[in-house]
Amino acid sequence: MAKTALIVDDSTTMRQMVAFTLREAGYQVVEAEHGQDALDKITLSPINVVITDLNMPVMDGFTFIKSVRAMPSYKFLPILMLTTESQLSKKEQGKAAGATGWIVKPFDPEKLLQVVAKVLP
Amino acid sequence: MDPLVHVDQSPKDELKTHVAVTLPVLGVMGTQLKETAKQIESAVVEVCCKFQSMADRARAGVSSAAELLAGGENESSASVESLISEASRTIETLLRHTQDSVAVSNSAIERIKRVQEATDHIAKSLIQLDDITIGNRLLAVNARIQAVYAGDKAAGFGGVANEIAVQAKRSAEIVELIRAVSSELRYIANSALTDLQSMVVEDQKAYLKSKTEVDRVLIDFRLMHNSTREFIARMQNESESVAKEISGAVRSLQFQDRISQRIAHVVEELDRIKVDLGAHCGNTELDEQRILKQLSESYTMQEERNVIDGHPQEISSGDVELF
Repeated sequence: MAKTALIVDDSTTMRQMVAFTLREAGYQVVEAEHGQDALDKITLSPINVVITDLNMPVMDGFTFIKSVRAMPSYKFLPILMLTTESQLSKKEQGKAAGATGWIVKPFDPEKLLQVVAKVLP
Repeated sequence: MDPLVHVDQSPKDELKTHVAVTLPVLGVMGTQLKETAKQIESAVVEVCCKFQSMADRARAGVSSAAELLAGGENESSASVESLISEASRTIETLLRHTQDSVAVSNSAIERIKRVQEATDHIAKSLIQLDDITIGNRLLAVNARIQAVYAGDKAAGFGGVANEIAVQAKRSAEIVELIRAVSSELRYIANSALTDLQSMVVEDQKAYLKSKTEVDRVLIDFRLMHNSTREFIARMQNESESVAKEISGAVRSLQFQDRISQRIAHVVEELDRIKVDLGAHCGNTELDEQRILKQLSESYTMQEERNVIDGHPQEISSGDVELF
């Protein structure tokens, strides 16, 4: 059965590009525009991996990750941050929030797939 | 003298006036930037959708062609390879049947030849029967002569002689009948033999011709099939290349996200500057209108002017007007 990825980004184009890359590799995709939208959608269908942006309206990536990790059933869910930020302090904040990995935009589609495959259980 | 500056203004007031009339331009610049970012995003979204469609169609095309070669989705569909094998087997069976027919015809020819030999034997026997009939007739004639010499005492002997003559005549008639039947039989056998031999020769010729043609067709079919397979393999490679190129383009198109973020930051800063400067300037509404009018006249696209007019969503791109 195909694995499902939740893509969280306020940029339509970024969501489309990530979705396109994952769908081409056989994944199913659920899209959300910001952290709160993602929290509403995460329980609706089984999610195997999350790829989230950092800076988003309504709810940012860090708050979203913390909220997800607070739910016992998503304690070990792989969550990758995909952001233009590359500051060490931000990465540390992400790690502390519970992110599994950090990818700096623009992403390389093949690398993204490799990382997703690596973090999937 | 600067037309914006009033004669009685101090240098500080002059500066305030200059700044005040420039403030609306900052607002317009911010909106222009936001609209530009929106247009770039919209274009990139469209390109992304087209990529998805291109990739889907390329994949579907290759998949259909491969499926056609492999034999379709359902189990009952035969592959081209299995069809070639099946056709080969069917044709081989037909050729074997043709060979079997030739063998049966040859066997029939042999049997007809034996019938001919039998009729030859019958003909020889009939010659012997002719001799016997002649002998019997001579015997009857002699017996009659002897009966005449013997007179009345041998009258019964004469009757026997007559009877022998009758039997000899009947025997001769039967011999003729057998000869006629045998001759007819021989004629029929000869005709059948000629027909069968001619048919065997034709069958053998047809068999060899068919075999050559079938072999050639099957070779052509296999060559064509191999060419099709090679073509599909090339198509698959091409599709993979296209997928890689699309993947590269996906990376390149992410410039939009970075540009949007940077533009957003610039717009935020412009808004802040406008608010800060606005707090220190007075009301210059009349000059503001004039500056905006000048700005509008300096623009080259209707979309830019729409920003000043307050309805930036209207885009004239693609409009056609005939005069």
